[in-house]
Amino acid sequence: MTRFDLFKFSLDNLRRRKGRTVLTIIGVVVGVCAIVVMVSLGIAVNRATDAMLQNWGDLTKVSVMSWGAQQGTPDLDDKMIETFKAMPHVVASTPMYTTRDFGGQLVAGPGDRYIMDGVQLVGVIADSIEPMGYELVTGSFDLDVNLGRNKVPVLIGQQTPFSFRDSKKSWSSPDVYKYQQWDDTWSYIINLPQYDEDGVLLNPDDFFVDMMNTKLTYMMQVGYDDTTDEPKYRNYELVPVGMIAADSRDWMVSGGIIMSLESMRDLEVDYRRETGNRPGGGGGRDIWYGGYGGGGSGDGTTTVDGYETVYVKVDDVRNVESVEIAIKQIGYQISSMSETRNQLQGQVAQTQLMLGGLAAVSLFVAALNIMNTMTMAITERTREIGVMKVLGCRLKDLRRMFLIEAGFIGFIGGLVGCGVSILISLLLNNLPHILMALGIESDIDLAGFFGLGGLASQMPEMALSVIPIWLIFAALAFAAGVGFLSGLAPANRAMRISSLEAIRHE
Amino acid sequence: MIRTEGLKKIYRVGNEKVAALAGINLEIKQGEVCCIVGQSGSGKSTLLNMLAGLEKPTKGSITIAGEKISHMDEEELAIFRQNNLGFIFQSYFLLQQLTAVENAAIPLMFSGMDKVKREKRAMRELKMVGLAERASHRPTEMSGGQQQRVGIARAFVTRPKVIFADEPTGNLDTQTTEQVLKAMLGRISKYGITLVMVTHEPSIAACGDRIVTLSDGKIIKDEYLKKSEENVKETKKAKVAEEKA
Repeated sequence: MTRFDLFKFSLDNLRRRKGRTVLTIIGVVVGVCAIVVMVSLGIAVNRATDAMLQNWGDLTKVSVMSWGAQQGTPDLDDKMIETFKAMPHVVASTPMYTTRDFGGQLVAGPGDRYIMDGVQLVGVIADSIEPMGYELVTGSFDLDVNLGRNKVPVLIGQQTPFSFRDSKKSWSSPDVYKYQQWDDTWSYIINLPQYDEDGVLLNPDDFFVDMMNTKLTYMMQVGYDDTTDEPKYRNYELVPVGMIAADSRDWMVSGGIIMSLESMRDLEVDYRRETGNRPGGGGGRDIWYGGYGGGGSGDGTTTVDGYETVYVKVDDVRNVESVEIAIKQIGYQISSMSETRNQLQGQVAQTQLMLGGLAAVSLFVAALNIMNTMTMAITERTREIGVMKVLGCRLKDLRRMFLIEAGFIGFIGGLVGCGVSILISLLLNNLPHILMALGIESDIDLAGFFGLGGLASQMPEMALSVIPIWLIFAALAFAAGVGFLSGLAPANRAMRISSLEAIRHE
Repeated sequence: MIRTEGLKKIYRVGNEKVAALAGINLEIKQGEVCCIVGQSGSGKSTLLNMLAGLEKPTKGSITIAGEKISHMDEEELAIFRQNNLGFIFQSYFLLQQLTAVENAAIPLMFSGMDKVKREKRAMRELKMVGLAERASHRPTEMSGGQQQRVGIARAFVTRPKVIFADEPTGNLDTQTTEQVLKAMLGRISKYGITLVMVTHEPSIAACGDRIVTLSDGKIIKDEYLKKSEENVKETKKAKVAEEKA
């Protein structure tokens, strides 16, 4: 038989028993709807989770901790950083070293009028700041320049200029700071310093100090004057080589002043010479970068010497896991957004699996329905099948005929099911509007249903249900496949019908 | 054209073995109209089913057009039927959802011929049996005689070598029986087709060239008749008499 004849014959047969066919199709529609809607909710929640995590931090960054390590883990020092860098897929690794030894303030402007208290100095490995994924507003990343004694090359975070106060204003004055601006969703900083290609500040009125083009003096406090009891300072000039774009996920850099680890070490050495103090940190070990001393804790883990935290940047999200495993094998505790994401997704997947299971049951029932319908059709048509066999219908054509019938029920059910699912999805996504239009007050939180409470409040514009094209195609193929599989047993039965028995069958 | 050798069919009923056919040796020539008669239970239907390949013999062999059909599997048989055999049934067995022309074209559809070509051929066959104007009617809209003539058109549409007919006029009245027999026999001789017909009515059997009589699974009588137009008329008379009686 030609393909056309097979299809026509099968569809004619379906049309002959419209009522039963329609009921069977409705069964499939319900099953497909249940599955598609469940999956679409899951996809929507996963997307929202990803968007949320993107806001929280870089998915390709892994933090390696000095604490919580296994006994016998080597120190988290420069040598270890080299080890990390040598790992496949690692593009950069650096600590974000903040000293506990000394403090100070930054002054700028005429008569040192503008003061930044509690300056956050961050020491990094100079050549890793660019590969870590930071972006420049102006200038360069080049911290490795020698400017001479008491001059320190630094990178300025884009948000850092907000930290200056006007010392001529009283503490209670609203104008003592140039406040940061937030947009109405409280998630976005506007009016950050903008520079043109020549490094000229484009919005000077928004700030007290154009940090890129003003002399910045860092006053390191080195104790108190014995007679006046006033703080004693040692002064350095900070020379900005560039400004790093603000990134809400990284306050340390966005609001800090970044210098090379070598510069930081020089400052610490100066401080010690001025004060005669030992470096901070316990354990009495004289390591300049001042990690906590190695002391055991009750749970069999230990805190190793070295940096408190070292950051490792991976080339792609997909490779984060392998890098994490390699670092864990050395013995360190790690934390990353990827890990958090996996935990969140695992949570969602569990809920989804449960709901998907329920949906699968309804599709299974639909499959049984198809099987039942086909078996009935074959019983009814026993004589017809026998006659067709006698008249020379080949077994494989007979089989195909019934498989097409069953597959078609599945396919049409899938098609209608997808259509209905899209409607349901639209309904869900516009639920607040619809309820509002109907005048119903409600507080439905489907995200909370998935164990991710509060997600909806963080992402007010989040869709509750997302049906990508692939889901439509997968559902169609799946439904047709279910129909086809349900038709297999009845079709094989039809093949086995003895033509002789069949034509005697009255 | 058809040859059987030592054809045996044994059924098991409980622990007993019942021989439906007890060694049939039969040779039917090309173009012959062979009628198989006998009481019910004589084995005539079993013989026809076996010749048509619907039933496997317990012993012995069947050769049709030089091919041993008793040794074919279902798939080979399907193709053999498509190419060589035609069937006419007592209850017509038309497919209810199809029109007359579609029904007549079914064997060609099974062998994969396209719709336009096969329905043209089927139309020609319907014309031959005088049903051209009924081509688009469905079986439920036709009388028994008309349905059987569609059945005949269906049997002839593939130009088979052999046609098997199982009580083709069993459900018909006298007048339609005559029409149907004419439609069947006229075309047989024209194309040199071999016809094997089972009937329990002697008057119908008399239309053939040869009558094989079965009893208890054995051939008890095998006679050749002088073929003439007279026979058909005789048949009609005989049937009328039968109905009156």
